[in-house]
Amino acid sequence: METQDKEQEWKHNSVISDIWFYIRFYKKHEPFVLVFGGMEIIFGAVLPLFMIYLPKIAIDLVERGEAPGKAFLTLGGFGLFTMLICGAKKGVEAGKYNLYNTQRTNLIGMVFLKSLRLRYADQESGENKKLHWKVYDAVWGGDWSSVSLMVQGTVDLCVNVLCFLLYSSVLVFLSVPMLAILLALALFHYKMNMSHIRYEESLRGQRALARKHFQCVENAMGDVNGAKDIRIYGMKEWMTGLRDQTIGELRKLSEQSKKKDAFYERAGDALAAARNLGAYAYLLYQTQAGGVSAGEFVLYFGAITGFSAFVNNTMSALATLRGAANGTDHIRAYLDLPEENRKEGSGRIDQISFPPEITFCHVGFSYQNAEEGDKPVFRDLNLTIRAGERLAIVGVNGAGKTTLVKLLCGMIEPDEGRILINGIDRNEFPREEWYRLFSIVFQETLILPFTVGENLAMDRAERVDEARAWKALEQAGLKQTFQKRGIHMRSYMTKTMAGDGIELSGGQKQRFLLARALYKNAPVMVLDEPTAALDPIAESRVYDQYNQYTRGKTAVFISHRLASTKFSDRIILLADGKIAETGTHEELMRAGGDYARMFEVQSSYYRKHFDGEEAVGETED
Amino acid sequence: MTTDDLLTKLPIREHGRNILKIIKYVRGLNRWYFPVVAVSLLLKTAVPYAELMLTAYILDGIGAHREIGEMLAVITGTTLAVMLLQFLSGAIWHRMEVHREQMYYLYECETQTKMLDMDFSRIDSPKVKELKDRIRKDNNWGAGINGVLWSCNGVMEKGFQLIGAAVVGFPAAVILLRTKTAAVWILLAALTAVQVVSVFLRMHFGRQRDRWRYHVAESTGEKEETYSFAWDFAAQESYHYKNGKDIRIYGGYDLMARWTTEVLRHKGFRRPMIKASQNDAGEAFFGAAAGAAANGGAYLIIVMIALAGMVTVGNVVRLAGAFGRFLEAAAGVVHDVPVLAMAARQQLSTLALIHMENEMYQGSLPVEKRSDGVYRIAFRNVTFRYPGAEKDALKNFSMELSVGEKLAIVGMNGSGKTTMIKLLCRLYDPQEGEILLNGVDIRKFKQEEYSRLFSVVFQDFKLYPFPLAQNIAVSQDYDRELAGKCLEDAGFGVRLASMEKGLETCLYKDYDDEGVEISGGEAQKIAIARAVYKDAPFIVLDEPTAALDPLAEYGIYSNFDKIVGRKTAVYISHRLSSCRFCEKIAVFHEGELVQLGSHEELAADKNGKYYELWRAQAQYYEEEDGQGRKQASPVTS
Repeated sequence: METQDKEQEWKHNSVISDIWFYIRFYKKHEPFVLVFGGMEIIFGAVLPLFMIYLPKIAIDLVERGEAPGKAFLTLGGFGLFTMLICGAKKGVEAGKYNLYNTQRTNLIGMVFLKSLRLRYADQESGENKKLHWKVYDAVWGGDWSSVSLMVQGTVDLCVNVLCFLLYSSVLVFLSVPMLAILLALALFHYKMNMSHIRYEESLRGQRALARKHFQCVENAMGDVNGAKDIRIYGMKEWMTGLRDQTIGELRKLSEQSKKKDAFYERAGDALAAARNLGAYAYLLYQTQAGGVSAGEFVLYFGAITGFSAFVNNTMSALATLRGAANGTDHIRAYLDLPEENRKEGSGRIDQISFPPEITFCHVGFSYQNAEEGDKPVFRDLNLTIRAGERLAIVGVNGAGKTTLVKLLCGMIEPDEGRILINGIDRNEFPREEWYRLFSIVFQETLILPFTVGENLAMDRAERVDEARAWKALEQAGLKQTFQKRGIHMRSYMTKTMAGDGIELSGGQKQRFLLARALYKNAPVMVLDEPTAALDPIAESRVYDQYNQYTRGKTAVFISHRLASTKFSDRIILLADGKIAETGTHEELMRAGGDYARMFEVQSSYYRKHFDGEEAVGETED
Repeated sequence: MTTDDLLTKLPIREHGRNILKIIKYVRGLNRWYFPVVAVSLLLKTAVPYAELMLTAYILDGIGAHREIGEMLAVITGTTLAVMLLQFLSGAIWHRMEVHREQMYYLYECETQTKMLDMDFSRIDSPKVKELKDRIRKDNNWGAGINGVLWSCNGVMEKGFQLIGAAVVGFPAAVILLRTKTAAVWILLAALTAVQVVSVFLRMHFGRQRDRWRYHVAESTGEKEETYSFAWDFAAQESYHYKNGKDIRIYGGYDLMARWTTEVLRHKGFRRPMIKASQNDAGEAFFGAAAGAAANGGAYLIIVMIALAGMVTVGNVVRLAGAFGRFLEAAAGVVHDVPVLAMAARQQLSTLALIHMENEMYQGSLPVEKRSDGVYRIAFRNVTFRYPGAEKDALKNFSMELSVGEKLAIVGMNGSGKTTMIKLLCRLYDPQEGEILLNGVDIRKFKQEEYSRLFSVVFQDFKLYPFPLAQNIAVSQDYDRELAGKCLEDAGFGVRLASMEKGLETCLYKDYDDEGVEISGGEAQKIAIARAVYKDAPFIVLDEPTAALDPLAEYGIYSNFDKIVGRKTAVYISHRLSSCRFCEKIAVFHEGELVQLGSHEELAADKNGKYYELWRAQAQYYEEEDGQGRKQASPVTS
């Protein structure tokens, strides 16, 4: 329901309100765009008038046989003035170009930060991801980005509407019926253009889809991470086949669209020819009747052709704006998404006793998007993680371990029930406070392309506590490696930003993220599969030091490697979103349930009396 | 392969060569594009001149009180002719626009297409990275191939305008030569001077503009890099979604603001843009003013001549129009050619990448197809070091792999396990030593045929957002039944059955909104299915179960024999338990093969690396005996 509402909301903003959005945006960030835009509108509106008067004045001078001196002054002065206006118009037009384009970057930055202020579940939801993607589409693409089109489109619209009015006033002097005919012609042209525009708009969705497909194949081909697989499996033919297929899709659309373009342009040419013929004939008869001089003939003919051009341009500016407004609506919709409550609330972490006890009280949760595969559902989940307890969570893939962690740290909200800390409801805490409780190593995380110190402290370089950072690295077993490689706190990580940036192997990355958790030193430590990429020795070192890491803290450890459960105070086995078993390792082994079976399967390979395949089937006792 | 920056001065000849290079490339994409577009532009250029002539005819007709019927006939004929010109040029133009768009898309993905068959060792090389970086920067403000096509067309069009203006305005030149009025000559000189000066001013401002605009792309100073970095960073989706949780938990919002909006709004980074804008404005001002001056000046001159009685009213419009257009087109050509040169120059980096040649030796021997699958691989004293690395990844490494063998490779992170696999598949060539297939150096084989021998599931394997079956078969055509069976064997059967579109389901949502998200474990199963579908004589699994839970892992293990069949299998894992499936275990340490033997043999050597690794894991799975002592020996008694 909610997503449907959103979908409609995107379309509701009018073009005017979108223009207003940009006016406010530029007023705040780059007011010169507005100044230049305003000047461009004024100069742009009067310039064409000057241009059609020039030949009239010249002809009048010749016809009247004016004295050369006066002629020189009149035409020269007029020409000079035209020259300045023309230069000024183009000058401000070009001058604002870089300025408004540069602000697109700013907009991207704003949207990026906005994504981080959303509730995490909203950031991650498929609907908002799609919206986010559309926002980029609206901001990327240089001159064809929605932002650029809106700016230039608005100016063009104003210029042409003003010109339309100015020209109409010139033509009123010629003949009111003539103006009426021209207006009727313009109306007809308008109708024609509208159906052209509507056709173009009907293709837009298909075209965006085809472009997306093309980009998808393009990314697949260019992705260096797939280079090994591409070679080993000989995927070249497949990829180029897909590429040609998607370009074929695009070509078909472009053929359809150009065919229509051609048709409407031909129709426009024919209409113009008819109009010109009529205008020539009318003006000729007028000159014969003596109502119009040669100079006026040129003037009025210019006004008539110009008049149609303005109608056309107004139309295309409107079409541009209508198309671009769509993208703008996406930007606005994203910027308007509700944010998580970061600051409000009376709860303070400093006021509760450490290590804390965390309670799940009748918690129910399910993912909104059923399509996202077999994601787990919790119903009436009750769990207390005692103060200072080391809890291990185990379960098969998809049992809900990671979802439980997300619920715990507040990345997602329970649909029903409450989560308490030392008996206080977590909703009493502002989110920023709540987050201070946790040091978490998540499963998939990228290293940010900033400095080592910034990555560890997740704070500005100048606020990094270096001694503490080195200590954290030492505890995670990375200090030596880093020192040997001459890495310091201000070294950049990854090659994204610095050519000599530090690249870490999979195992080192995991240890680095562990160091970040240790640096934070929060009262609750959560490790989600922290050893998957580690070799046996490194893995065993993490286990050995786990006690030290979690001293005086409440800790949660999630792992597929059941060995890790041995040093936990309590184990819970999740199955289908429920706590199927709970107890110490020994208790669960004695109980002989699923945990015992899983442990058996894994340990059978390591156990002393390994007896080939038979051992696999064995159960404890 | 010049890929130096965009602002250094080049001799004109070099610019010419660059332009020819890119035009040649466009001709390779579509031979007819330029010739046909030229015809369209020529027809289009004729239109305003025809109209100019018509206006002159009418004005003179009015002056001479010509018969209105006769004039209407001429008007109708000319108007229809103009319409025909427009029809023709427009029809051709729109047709060519379809071709242009297609060229654009083809060209846009050329660098990506190139990645498909570039030497693997070079894909990640500093040179290629630098080129890609260069390409990105070069196309920052350009429109790729469109920039070249548009400015080429612009130059052509202005050239035609020059010709048209010269033809239509020819009488003006004749009349001018007969003019004795000094004022006219002075005016002409002044007008020419204005045009020349304005061209210089435009070029000056244009150069300054480019200097500031490409400033960001050119300077290697940290500050400027930061600007484009911040833009890229903020725009890279993957950073937020993958880090969204961490940024919240670790309070990184402020840090993110520091690297994005703060940088993007910083005065120091805005300044080049403002400077570029000012210069843009200057360039545009003088361009437009010169255009208006040409137009107004032409009228002024012609009016002065006309007042001296040498030109009719109609010819004032015709000659002044043609004269003005001539000056404008001339200034336009002078201005547009450097723009074209810049557009061409910006494509040099792309062309350099596209034309980059492979260095790896390509053999021509076919790989013998053996129905019995008897292939033997031997590493002989192989030493290999990654480009730019300080240490050998493999040192004097020798080993044999015979048909049907099941080999496990174990060792610590960075011990050379994956490197050995990469050499085996000839993603790299070793610096020393050789690798033999049935006694023949693998470099002598045709690479495509040699690659067919291997099915590898790398640790960082890659699946694509296309239909599931295509991912398995790596082709748009596939054997449905076989693909389904392979997925079943890999343990993906249950999920497959739950998918509405079955094998046609797209993975992820990038390509198809109705695609499905898959977990790490499921992805691994699909990757294994892809390896099985290929049915190659060698199958290599590099950490295939890292993301799987114990039961799923067990499923894969117990299916392993069935999956692998009689093939030669190499199995890399951090979970040493998996070794027990293999007859032979190779232990790697710091790029060397330190131990080779069965589990029992290796575990017996208590000073060996294998024992150390095994102990590290096994200790957690051992039952304590009655006295609280751990039973230590991993060896079967």
